[in-house]
Amino acid sequence: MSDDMTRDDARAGDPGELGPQAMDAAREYNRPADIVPRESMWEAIRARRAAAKPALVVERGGAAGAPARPAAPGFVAVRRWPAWSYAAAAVALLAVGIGIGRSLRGTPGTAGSLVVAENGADSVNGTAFQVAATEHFGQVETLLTWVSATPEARRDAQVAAWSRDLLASTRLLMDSPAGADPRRRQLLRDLELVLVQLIQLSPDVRDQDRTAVDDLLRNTTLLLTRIRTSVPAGMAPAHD
Amino acid sequence: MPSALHRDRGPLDDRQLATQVLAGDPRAEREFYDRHVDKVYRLAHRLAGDPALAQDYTQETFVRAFDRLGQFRGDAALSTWICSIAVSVSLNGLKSLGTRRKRETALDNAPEIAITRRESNPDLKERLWAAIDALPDGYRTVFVMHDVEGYTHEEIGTALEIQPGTSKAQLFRARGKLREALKDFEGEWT
Repeated sequence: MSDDMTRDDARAGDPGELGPQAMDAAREYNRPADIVPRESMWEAIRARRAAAKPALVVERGGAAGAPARPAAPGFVAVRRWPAWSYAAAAVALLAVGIGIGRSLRGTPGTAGSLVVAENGADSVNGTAFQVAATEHFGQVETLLTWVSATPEARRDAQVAAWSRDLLASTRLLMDSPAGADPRRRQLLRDLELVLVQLIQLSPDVRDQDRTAVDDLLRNTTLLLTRIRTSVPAGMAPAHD
Repeated sequence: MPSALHRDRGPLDDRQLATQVLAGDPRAEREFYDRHVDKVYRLAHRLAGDPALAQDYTQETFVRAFDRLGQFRGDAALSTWICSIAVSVSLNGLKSLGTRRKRETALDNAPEIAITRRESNPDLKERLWAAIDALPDGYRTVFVMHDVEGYTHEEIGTALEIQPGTSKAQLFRARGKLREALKDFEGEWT
């Protein structure tokens, strides 16, 4: 018999349902309780959708100017709201970098005793700040890409909080050896300006304050280009 | 009690409701869920035989349904469309678990057990359930949907993406296998 039966074929060979008692028993098969746990399932569905919704996606080592889009193979999804953890990680890394730098400068009386060791320390010192700066620019790039692509984010209180943390990290870096490089120092200064603008914009800016928004977007776009130029592709940390 | 959507605009049909959900209206999302959750949960439970799995599969069904609602064209009822997702989620979930619930009474051992316990209805019920468990997925799904949950062959065909005639054929075979499993109890049972 083929899989496709006509109605007549089916009726011709089919004696119909099982007997009444068997049908009663069949209706008890895997029978669910009368009460469906609606609310708990709804909460779980909402939570899962909320967790999945936000994602901002940055192409791994990808081209500049690609803001938000659905996740796809080969892309790194950056969750929307580990903002605090990003900022905390950046600050922690900066602190470690600066701590390493200070400890490797040596103490008075010992400095200069071993020229080779001092040169080695400077090298490690520079590397630590380089890593800290790269991590920081990666965080800033994520924030600015998101802000550029998501108009409502510009007035979001959490964006303001994230910006404040990044502003603190930016100022730390400016005062560290990472800020000794003139080109990087200028980038950090401009970054400071944009972060301040972001903090001032969100969350209570009024619609008519278009100039501030336009300035911010223009500065953000320029800054993103400069960050991507200064941080080689693949150097910025990936987050998931 | 009518939902907020009903009070404001009157009951929405499937297409209108889908449009509202796609527009991001949270009340429409809840309305969509409320309309279909009982049916989805019942079907998932019938297939999985376990409340926790049924909840998992129901949640997964709705998450996918919300994600894919833009693909709903209105060719079938929204309830049939979401049931097709529920069946797919449940069967795939069970396959990946590799643990479709097995009754203590394996079908292969059933005849001798049946002979010795003919008078015991609870045991016979267990035997029927074991026989249903032992059906191939396609037969079991059609049997459960048609004879247990009352879906039509047209609805089953749409949900499983098969012809209604195929659904009838699979039901025919499912019943045949169940009769075979219960052949020692002819009469009222078969």
